[in-house]
Amino acid sequence: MKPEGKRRYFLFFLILAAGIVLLSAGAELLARTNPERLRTRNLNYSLLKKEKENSIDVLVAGDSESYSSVSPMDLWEKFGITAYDIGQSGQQIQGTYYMLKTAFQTQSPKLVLLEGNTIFRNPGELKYFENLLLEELGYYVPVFRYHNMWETFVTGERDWRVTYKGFKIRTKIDPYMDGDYMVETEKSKDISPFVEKYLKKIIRLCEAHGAELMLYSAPSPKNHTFKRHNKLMEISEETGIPYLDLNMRIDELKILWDEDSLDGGDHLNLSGAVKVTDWLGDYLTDQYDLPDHRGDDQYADWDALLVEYRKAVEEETAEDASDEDETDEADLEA
Amino acid sequence: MGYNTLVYLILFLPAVLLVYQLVPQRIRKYILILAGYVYFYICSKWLVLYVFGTALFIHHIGMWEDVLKKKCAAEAKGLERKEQSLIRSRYKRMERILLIFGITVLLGVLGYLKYSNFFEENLNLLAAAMGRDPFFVVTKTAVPIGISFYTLQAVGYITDVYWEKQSAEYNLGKLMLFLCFFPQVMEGPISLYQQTGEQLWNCRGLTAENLSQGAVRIFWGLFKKLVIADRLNVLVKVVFDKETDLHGSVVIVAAIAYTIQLYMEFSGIMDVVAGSGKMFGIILPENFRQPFFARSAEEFWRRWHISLGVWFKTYIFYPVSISGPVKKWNRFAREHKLGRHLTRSVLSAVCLLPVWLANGLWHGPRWSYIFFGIYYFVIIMAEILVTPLRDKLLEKLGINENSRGYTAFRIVKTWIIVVVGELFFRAETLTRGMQMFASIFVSFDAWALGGAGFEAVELRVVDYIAVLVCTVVVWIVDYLKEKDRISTEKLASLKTPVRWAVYYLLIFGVIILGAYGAGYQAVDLIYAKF
Repeated sequence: MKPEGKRRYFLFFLILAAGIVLLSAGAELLARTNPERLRTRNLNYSLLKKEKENSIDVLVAGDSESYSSVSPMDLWEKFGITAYDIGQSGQQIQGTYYMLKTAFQTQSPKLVLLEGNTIFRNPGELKYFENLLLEELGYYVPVFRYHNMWETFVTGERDWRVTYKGFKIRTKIDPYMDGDYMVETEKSKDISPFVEKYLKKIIRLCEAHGAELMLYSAPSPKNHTFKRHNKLMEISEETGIPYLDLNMRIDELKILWDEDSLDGGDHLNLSGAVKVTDWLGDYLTDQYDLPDHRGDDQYADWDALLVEYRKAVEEETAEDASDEDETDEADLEA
Repeated sequence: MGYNTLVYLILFLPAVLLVYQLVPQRIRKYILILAGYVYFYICSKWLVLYVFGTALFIHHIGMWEDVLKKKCAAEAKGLERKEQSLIRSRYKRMERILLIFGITVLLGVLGYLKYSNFFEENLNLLAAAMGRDPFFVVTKTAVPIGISFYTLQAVGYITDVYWEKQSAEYNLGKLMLFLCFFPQVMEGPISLYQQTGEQLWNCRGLTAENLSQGAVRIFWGLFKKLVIADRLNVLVKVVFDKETDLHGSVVIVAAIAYTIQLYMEFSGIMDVVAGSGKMFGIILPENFRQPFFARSAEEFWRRWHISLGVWFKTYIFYPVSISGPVKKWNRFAREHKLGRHLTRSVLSAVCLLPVWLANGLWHGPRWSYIFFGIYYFVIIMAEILVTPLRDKLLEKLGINENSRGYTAFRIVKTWIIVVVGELFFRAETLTRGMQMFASIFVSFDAWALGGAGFEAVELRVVDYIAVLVCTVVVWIVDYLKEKDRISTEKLASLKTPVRWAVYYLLIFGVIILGAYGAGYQAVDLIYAKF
């Protein structure tokens, strides 16, 4: 190729790169200033970035099982712990990894709770890889994540569903009726090599940021099994990361399947989440050195949000679970 | 690994290009073979052995045919003409048996893998209807990707050797590459050995020109697939997956949406495929030539999935049209003065029926696909039958056949034929297709469009606008192509700022308007399942 030709190609790609960088910066800025214009999944990223720097002590990560089981506002009210649900519906392990990376940009949590359901997702190595590329692109080049924001700007619509530090109030009851699901066995469930790799990356990421990691399984008759329990125990033994299976403590938690289930034993509803949170709060204060920030002026906004949360819970409960009670598109796949 | 995935676009394709360019020229062909087999393996794991087996098989059949041809020539040498023809016909018979054996094995494998379940299920239904126990226990067979595509290429090759249109290939590598060039593996185009066999083996170096033209073609394809097809998929899926009664108006909109989706998706992916080939300097046969400018169903099929049409024409239509019974009919018609129209109509019917049955069946083991084939057979036959009547009518009414108005009328008529065809093609079952079609006449309710019909469709007004505007853009480009006013080469000759502006528009158009990420589901390739 002639030098002149080379210069031309260089210039072409330079302009292209500049365009992409510019669009990415613009998208990032717009997403931060107008989170209500984002669609659900993207909203999580942008809201997380809006949190005050270094204000969160506990991150709850994973798929929909994670954010359906822990209510940060209840943790705050009763224990003064600042927690945030960073899980997303249907999130795969590489998604969890990049979500954590995003969180670590502005936060330095003491503890990361990783819900185990995401570990057992297996769309196949190829799909995992494809989704990984999408996550990476979205992480490093935000225009790929926020590219369709223009749609809501054109229509003027807002897609903001109120969340309380990542938690959504869902009061619907759809009982689980099929009885005991933790049937003891020696066998354990296999996980994909891709998940193993990303689990290790998550462990290293948490180490690098000085955050302790804890695995847990939210109560979920639809998803959890003894085989999964065994696998997570194995992982715990191999890595030294503690594992807490709440499915083995249903009585202790006082979970009643005819009132605490959102959708027939898949996810917990508000009442289930509150029970888990109450129990977990005691457990966490007992096991970890988590500061109680109540009364600290720096955290006054948490108290303000708590008032809103209480009001919303009251309204929702009074309204009686209506048909409109939302279940996310991908919640169902979780 | 669909051709629209990031794994393909930003990892696989660039990696192959890089390795291809770095290794010495004589090794490049092996890199392409390896890339093809790796691609196949990623998609279908050890079923890759099928495509290797097919290459081995046609390699052998081809050589065997060649040996017979050579033996025949050697034996006939120096003999009297009469004896020569005796020997020739003896060998020809052997060759024919060999060819039939080859085709039977190739189609047998295809039939077994793809259609055995269908026949078992239907025979079981028959058994049930007769009040007997089912004949078979239906087990699901794993089908390698692209089997319908590479099998046709393989059949084409051994037939061409038999016809002496192509000399037998002794180099196994060439045949392996011919059947398994990675951009072609999943969705075609179905190429003849003459089209790509040698070209692929030459392996010229990469050039900036080929790379940039290929890239433009890829982005154009992605634009059609990601911006238009994947958005429409949201609507199409909701309506076609419904099991309740639908209003006719909803059915019409969904059928039109599906027709556009299928065109944007298949032709878009073909652009990605052709663009990928172009990057290596390979010109793959075109599969689309502005199909929505066709004036008849018959012309539509010369512009839509062209490589499949060419294959059917070459290996089914043509052999049937010169077969004994058809020749006899011609003679009979001539002797009995049956007239040109009748002679031609019967001839067309005899030759076209197997073509359209094969077309329907090729798409897969479903009654709705078979119906789809027959549907086009009936329409194309009707087009042939009414031609004299139509000509007379036009003459009487004083309408010029090539006038703009009449051409527009014919194009719109073809659209309707195509949309109805795609409705049956997409419907879950033939019965469902019939129900949906009937609803157009029984319960057409235009108001349903605003309400009940589309309530579950998660598209916003802007999505519809994006689809509409971009479809118009594609239509304009197609129009310019039809009038021969635009082409990749012509684009390359534009002044730099204009050309670059077009490139940037295309790239950013895909990135910003593409229906990917949050709020959209990735859509697997439709034709990959055929």
